[in-house]
Amino acid sequence: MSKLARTQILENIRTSLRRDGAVDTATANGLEARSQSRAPHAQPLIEGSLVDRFIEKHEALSGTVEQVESWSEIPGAVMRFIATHHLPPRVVISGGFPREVDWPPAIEVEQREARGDDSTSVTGSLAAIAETGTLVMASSKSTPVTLNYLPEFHVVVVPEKSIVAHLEEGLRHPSLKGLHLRAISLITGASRTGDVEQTILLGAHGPRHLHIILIRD
Amino acid sequence: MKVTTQQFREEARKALGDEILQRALAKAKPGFINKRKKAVDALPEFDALRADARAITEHTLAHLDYYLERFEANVVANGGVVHWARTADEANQIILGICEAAGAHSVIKGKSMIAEEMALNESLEGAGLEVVETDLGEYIIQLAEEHPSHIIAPAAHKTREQITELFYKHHRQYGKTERQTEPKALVDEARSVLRDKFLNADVGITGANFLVAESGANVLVTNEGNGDLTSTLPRVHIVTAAIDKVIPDLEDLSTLLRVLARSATGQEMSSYTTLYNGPRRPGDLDGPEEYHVVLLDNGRSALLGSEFHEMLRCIRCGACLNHCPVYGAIGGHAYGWVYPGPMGAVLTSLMLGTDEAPDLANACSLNGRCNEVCPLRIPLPRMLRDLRAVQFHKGGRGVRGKFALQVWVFFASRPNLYHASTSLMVKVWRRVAGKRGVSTFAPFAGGWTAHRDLPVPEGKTFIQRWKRERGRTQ
Repeated sequence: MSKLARTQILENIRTSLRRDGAVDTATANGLEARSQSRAPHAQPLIEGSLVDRFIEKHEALSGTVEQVESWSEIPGAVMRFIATHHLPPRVVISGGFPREVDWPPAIEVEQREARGDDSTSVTGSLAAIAETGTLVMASSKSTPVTLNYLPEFHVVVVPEKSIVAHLEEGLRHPSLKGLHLRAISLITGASRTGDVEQTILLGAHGPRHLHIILIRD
Repeated sequence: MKVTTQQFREEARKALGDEILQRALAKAKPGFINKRKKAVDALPEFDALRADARAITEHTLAHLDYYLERFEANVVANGGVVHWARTADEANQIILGICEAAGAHSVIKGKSMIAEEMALNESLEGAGLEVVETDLGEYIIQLAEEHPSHIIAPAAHKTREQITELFYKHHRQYGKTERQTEPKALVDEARSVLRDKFLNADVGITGANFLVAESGANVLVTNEGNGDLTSTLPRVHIVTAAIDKVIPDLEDLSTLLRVLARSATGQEMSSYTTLYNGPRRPGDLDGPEEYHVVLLDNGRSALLGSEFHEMLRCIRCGACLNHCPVYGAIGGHAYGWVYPGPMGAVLTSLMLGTDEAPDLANACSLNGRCNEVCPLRIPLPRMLRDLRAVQFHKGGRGVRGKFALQVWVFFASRPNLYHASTSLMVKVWRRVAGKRGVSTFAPFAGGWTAHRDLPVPEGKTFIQRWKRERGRTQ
């Protein structure tokens, strides 16, 4: 059924476009090259410090930020976040943290995917976008997607040098090239809904709170 | 779903008299308009982005077959399966087949207008599957056994009190026995009830905001994160998308995302925009084992290249609904099918036919606001006028004032008779209006003068004054 439907839908499209068959080779080559040869398109103008803009955008969405000097300060910053929000001293983390991140015994740390009752996750990020205060996260063996969406509190570590200006730079990040990962997530603030009388509330299904630890090094 | 487009007039009248609905609409409207305006004013490049967005969609539509085939090839290379469906019925059959093969009992859904178009829930429930909507607004109206009244805020017509009662009635079975009245408590309760549904569902079904031909990704834009849980937790993920959702590449996606959220909710970006490329990869700790994309035509291929082809540029932001005085007065349900407001009046008339929806194209004052705010600059008023013309030539129900128009044509094509009769009419009208110079009566416009005074002509027709003025200057 699907095969016949496919043929017929494509035929209908071509009839409507007043074309006999598929596009000819020259046109196909032109379309193939469109990404490379395209004229520059409109983008929001971004001036000044990318770090400042990223922080400003993230805070405008009710997010919080702590700036630290190096990776070794991450566990301390996570402990402070947990204490501020009176959370249980247990976090589930993604892989990929460098060796300097040395978790103290006072906090229980598990590296795995998230489960329904995990309260706090701590993850890295691939890049951050100054344009909109957006985080770019890619799924992989060591970075399960559920860490971004199931816990109520999500702490994300962002090295300042990973901040890019525009959306396109996040989507075309060099470290994504050639990898056919399952999911590329752009996360802009915490989970929110306006479905009860247009009142904006945080924590609809995903995290209620998105906290970013910026590393200066 | 039951189509009630034939009863538009009765439904609209009912909606105008429905106090609860009027309260909900009054609350929703200014928020949407102000938030969009603020976001647009803050971005000097907005109009340039709109022009780019329009060019992208026109380019894609002109090569739609090419981009669909390219998208398909990339999904397959990523380990997914692509299904093609000519009609809603075919799409429903495909999805039932996938659910059956997976031995599924329960389905969770992300918000999807194409699923509404297919009446997918009815089809799945008819086959004995449990179906749970996970977008909060969709969940609320599922409990109320209703359909969305707005394409991005499906429960925009519900007040907080109504939601309290719905949750109180339906959540007792989960041990939630208190009436929650605060929005925050309502959202928290839904989160906790739906969390279990997410963790236990066999199949997740989402729509797609865009399909990226270059990589085979389906792009899902949400604020709640429900779409991502639906795409990730169940064993099987099914994406339903219309064929006009495909776009060429990631730069095009960036442009369209920049206009989408601003036009819809006034956000710069929605909270979650995710590109999903298929099933879980070897070694991944989460994600579905099976990934399917169902591409639905449902009449769209026939619209290509027609006078209504520009409707296929629509990215479903809802701005035209939010700025439409008719939608603002009657809400979405009166339109009688899936899509309400200006885009709905056009799409419904095209998809169901003007015989089935005779009043929708006429329920518009042609004020043009929808066209002004549309991020893709879709000429909705022009298309509504064209639909009226289609109806006029076809005749039948929905054509009102045809006789009056024929009378007017009779006079207008006989200039002497026309001038004589208009100058007489102006004189009589002037006399009737008296000193105030306004009339509470106008032929064929009783609906207008019932609530307003009409200033009458000053006693001469335009042609009479033209002749006099010209005589003076020559």
